[in-house]
Amino acid sequence: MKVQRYKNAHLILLSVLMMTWPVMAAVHVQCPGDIDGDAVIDVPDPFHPSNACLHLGAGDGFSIMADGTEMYTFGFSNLTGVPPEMAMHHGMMAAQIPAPTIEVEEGDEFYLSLTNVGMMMRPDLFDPHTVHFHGFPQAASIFDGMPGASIAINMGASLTYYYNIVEPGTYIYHCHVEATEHMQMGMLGNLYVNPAQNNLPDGTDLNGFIHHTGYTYAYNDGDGTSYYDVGYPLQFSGFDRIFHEKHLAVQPLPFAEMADTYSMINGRGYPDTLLPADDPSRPYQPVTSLIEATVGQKILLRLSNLSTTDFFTIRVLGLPMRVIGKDAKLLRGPTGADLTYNTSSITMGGGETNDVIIDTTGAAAGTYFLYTTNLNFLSNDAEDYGGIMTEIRLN
Amino acid sequence: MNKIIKRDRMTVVWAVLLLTLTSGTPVVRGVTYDLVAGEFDTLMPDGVTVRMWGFGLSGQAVTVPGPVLTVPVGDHNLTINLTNNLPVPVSLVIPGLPSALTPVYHQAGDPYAGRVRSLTAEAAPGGGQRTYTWTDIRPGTFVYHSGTQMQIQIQMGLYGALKHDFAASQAYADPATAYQTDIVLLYSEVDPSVHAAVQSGEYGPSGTITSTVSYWPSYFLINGESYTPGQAPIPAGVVGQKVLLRFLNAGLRTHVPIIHNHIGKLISEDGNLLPFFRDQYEVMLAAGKTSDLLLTPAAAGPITVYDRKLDLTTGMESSGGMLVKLDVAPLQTQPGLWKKPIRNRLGRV
Amino acid sequence: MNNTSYKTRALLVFLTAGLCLISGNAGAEIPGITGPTFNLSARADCIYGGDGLGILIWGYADGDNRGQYPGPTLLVAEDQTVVINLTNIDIPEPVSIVFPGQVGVQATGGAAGVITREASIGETVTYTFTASEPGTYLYNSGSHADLQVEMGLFGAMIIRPAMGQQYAYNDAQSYFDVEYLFLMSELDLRIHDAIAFGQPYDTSTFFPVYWFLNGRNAPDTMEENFVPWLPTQPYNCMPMMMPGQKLLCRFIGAGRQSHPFHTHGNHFAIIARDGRLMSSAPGSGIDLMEKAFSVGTAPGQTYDAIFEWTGEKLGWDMYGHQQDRDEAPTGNFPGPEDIDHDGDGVFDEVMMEMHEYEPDHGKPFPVDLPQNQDLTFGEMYNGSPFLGGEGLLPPGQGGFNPMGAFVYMWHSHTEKELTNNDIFPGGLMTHLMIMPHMMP
Ligand SMILES: [Cu+2]
Ligand SMILES: [Cu+2]
Repeated sequence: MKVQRYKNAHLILLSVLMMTWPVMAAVHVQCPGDIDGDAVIDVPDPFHPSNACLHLGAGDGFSIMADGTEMYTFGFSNLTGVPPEMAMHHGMMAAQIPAPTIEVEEGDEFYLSLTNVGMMMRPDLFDPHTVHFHGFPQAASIFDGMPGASIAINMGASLTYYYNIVEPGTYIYHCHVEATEHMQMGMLGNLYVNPAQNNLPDGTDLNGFIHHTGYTYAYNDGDGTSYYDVGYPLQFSGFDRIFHEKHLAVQPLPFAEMADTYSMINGRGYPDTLLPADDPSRPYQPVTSLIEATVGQKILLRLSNLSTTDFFTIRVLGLPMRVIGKDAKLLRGPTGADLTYNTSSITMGGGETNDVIIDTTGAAAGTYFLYTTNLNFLSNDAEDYGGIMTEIRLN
Repeated sequence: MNKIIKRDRMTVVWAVLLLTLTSGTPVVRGVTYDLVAGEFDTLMPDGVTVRMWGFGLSGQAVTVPGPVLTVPVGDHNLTINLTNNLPVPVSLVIPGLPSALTPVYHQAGDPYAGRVRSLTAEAAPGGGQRTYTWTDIRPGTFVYHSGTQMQIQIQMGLYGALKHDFAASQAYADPATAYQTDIVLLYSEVDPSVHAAVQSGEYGPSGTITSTVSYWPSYFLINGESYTPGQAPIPAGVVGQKVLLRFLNAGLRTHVPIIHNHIGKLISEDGNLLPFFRDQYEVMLAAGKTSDLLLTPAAAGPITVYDRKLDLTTGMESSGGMLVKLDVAPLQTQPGLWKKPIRNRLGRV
Repeated sequence: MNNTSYKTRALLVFLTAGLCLISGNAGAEIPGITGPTFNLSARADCIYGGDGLGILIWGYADGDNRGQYPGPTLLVAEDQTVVINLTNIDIPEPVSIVFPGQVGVQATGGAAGVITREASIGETVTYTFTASEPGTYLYNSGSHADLQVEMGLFGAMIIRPAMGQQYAYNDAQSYFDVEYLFLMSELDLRIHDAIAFGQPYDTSTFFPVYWFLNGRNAPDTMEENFVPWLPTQPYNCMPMMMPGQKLLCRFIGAGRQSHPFHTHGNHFAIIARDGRLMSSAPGSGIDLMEKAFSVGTAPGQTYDAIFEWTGEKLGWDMYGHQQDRDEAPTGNFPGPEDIDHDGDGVFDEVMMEMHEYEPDHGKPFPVDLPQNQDLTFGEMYNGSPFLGGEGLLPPGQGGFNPMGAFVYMWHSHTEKELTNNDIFPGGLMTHLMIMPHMMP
């Protein structure tokens, strides 16, 4: 591969550079109201009354697959709250799969600072990184993260993205540098925007649906269509074991042969999908996919597919699915036609998101299942009984 | 033997029904099927023999797909008594029909300890029995299939179609879903290497194939058969009358049936009436999905339905796979001629 | 993107693209051949992958011309009686055409095949139908299609509505300023090699290594139409527009895979599927229109979508209009109507651009961009975050976008498909250019 030869030729040069690198390092978080550069707002800035800040690191690391295999990854880490002089240290070898979940509010000015901490296991690589806020409406190239049309951040430095958040919904984000490679390696995450409707005064009448403080919705629906009690982002993705192994071994990357062998929800294959959040046995895969609710509640599933190789059809067995949103839009026609629909499975290609509500009214308490009907992916590489499957537990 | 058991059971069911009807109490109506899971060998059109697992009505041969089960109009409850003659546990689920599940997990000591083996209760191997019930069944077209080690058992053939109409010759509550003829088209695939490994006991943790991650089907079936040139068409009613095509995909991959030279109305998905019908010449039939398409043929003659995914092969041979011909009778034909029972390729009427 | 040949070609592409837009004819219409009678042939020929590899294909051709990948785009007007004569020149098995979405196609000549009548070498088969429903359609071989579609026997057909050339359907909401075709296909090199060398092949193990838009791999998608070095791949896929315009996308799934086509920049509105308007009933308009940022185009499907972009609500002035009198201009070149009251070189009042979002006018750029040495510049970045702006870049960096367009990658989000036979980047990918409005 052309890409690979280029990288190898610079191996020696880079090791020299690495020694002087900390001196050049310029971690620089931009966040109005943050005084000490850790992306935490210390004194709210009156000119930015509703800003949100996040500091992400981009680098490499290792994840553990459900069959116990350690997998070399690229990914993002959350450096928010880390003092800037410590950020490089904290971000190194800290790639999370999936990337830290981003949850922001409609009306936020969102300042996202990205620091490239470098790839510790591949010191021959100079790769820059970006954040592509996938689906951001009316985007400007400069903050779109598509490297060919804008800028990407080099090792040891920071770039701050600015997003004026005006459209609620379920989005995704990922690095767009050498996208096939960086995305296969794991630079993918959940991202969603809560609607302003969540903050209406108690008792507001939404065309017959009475809003109360604490109620949550996926969209500004005006009638409670997207009301939910508990919400879960579920991101489907996959790793091709051979691609990752060759990457770590500094061998030519098999783009043409790429075929995912570990299919995952939120960076874990079954049964790891059931482990709790922040389970110590999976330090770099902190997101659980175990869905828990009480009978009578409405569950919002924020589904997204970021596989670099496959469409997935996702099924919930035993409970009804109602699709209420696609690609960060409420399913409603321009003249108000209700385009939401009932189903028991939904098909998603890479880069698609869907919002599904499961109404558990009348359901029996117990365990239900969410899995892919592309049943061959119920595997963790050579291990059976794995892949894209999780449980919905109703109490 | 099985036949007798079945007849006895049906007698009991009808007796109970009759009793409730005559006694004037609220009627709990329902239909009961006795299904058997078993194995058999099938000869593919290219001469290859493949081991299959299938369902059959008690006393009849097991087939792939299993028998089309009908919940009659007016009934809302379904009971299936499953007898498992396979060497592995089997269970039964119907995606799309809400129901409580009683999952079975691998036990400690098993290589997959703690992982779910069956999404609901099992019928034990070697003749074990289990009864499954569904209540308040809504109108629609559904796949029933095994809920045990689905990645293997479904591709082995443990699936079939279930249908329930809102009213006589009307699929859903919307009167626009009335039809004169309905046709079940159930799509599935066979990867013979997996079937061979299962047959020889080479599938499993210490076998030659340890997971389904590599899936390369080479037989592409509609109602259990790969198309062969000259194959008899499926009667599709009379020109100008409505035909309801019930598409079901029990395969692991998406297929896209195209109705050659025709436009249909897509009316449902997974047994749910769509909020708005759509005029389409194709059905995006994802793995596990069902969709109903209404067709009103404007001319008599054959209608070809072919998979635009182009899985149109039988092993290495061309002109096969997921293609089927429907036959629309001309107007002057007596209805009796096309309504007469004809053995279709399910081996049933 | 370390592929230098890609950069060089991108330069050519963007320079020519920009010039075309100035001359005002870019994207005016989709190239094709006009009916209602078409004399097509089917013949073997050769195409070039994005990596330069020559590959044997079977293509439809306009009469005696060379075979094409895809076949000629057939342009038809509503209610015309369409006659297509297909002659098999040298394909060693019978060939045919099917027209998904057309009802009552009559086929004569040749011999009966499994799906339709077909022509062996030297034979001609004729298909006749009435183009009763305007829209975007696919045509492809209905004979041994698992092989013949793989080999390239497919193309697009557009039926233009009676309402006019600037409408996709007979509905005012289907108006567009510019239109582009996005016909998606794939190619499994092993099968083409097997055909070339008379070897056995197995289409059930289909595993493509090239992915195409209108028959070209990136970066060739962004070359001009009819470039002489791609003689059998005449169609490009290079969408261009200005803020506020309506860009019609005609998506077609012509191969065997589904492709999740993703547009950077904004959502689009899906107005039709399979050549039928997203409408609940005649006369109710496009009331079932859905907005999306990706469309999972399955084999045989077509979608029509309208993409619009104004850059509204970014929270900063994307034209870089100077409103802060204490600082020097940061972005766009002021027009003659802009006023510098006190002659200090700073414009005190700056006019709005066409389709500019008023509340953002004059709002400063929200962050400081990193120093140049900390950045990798895209070849289509021209040094300024502003539309129509211009910035200083280190020598040899960026600068292949002299108009200061905003550029967005449009691509299959099955990211594996951004490769050409193992080489990244390439594949099912192009870029949208949003050009600043020009002063008349
Ligand atoms: Cu993306
Ligand atoms: Cu992208």
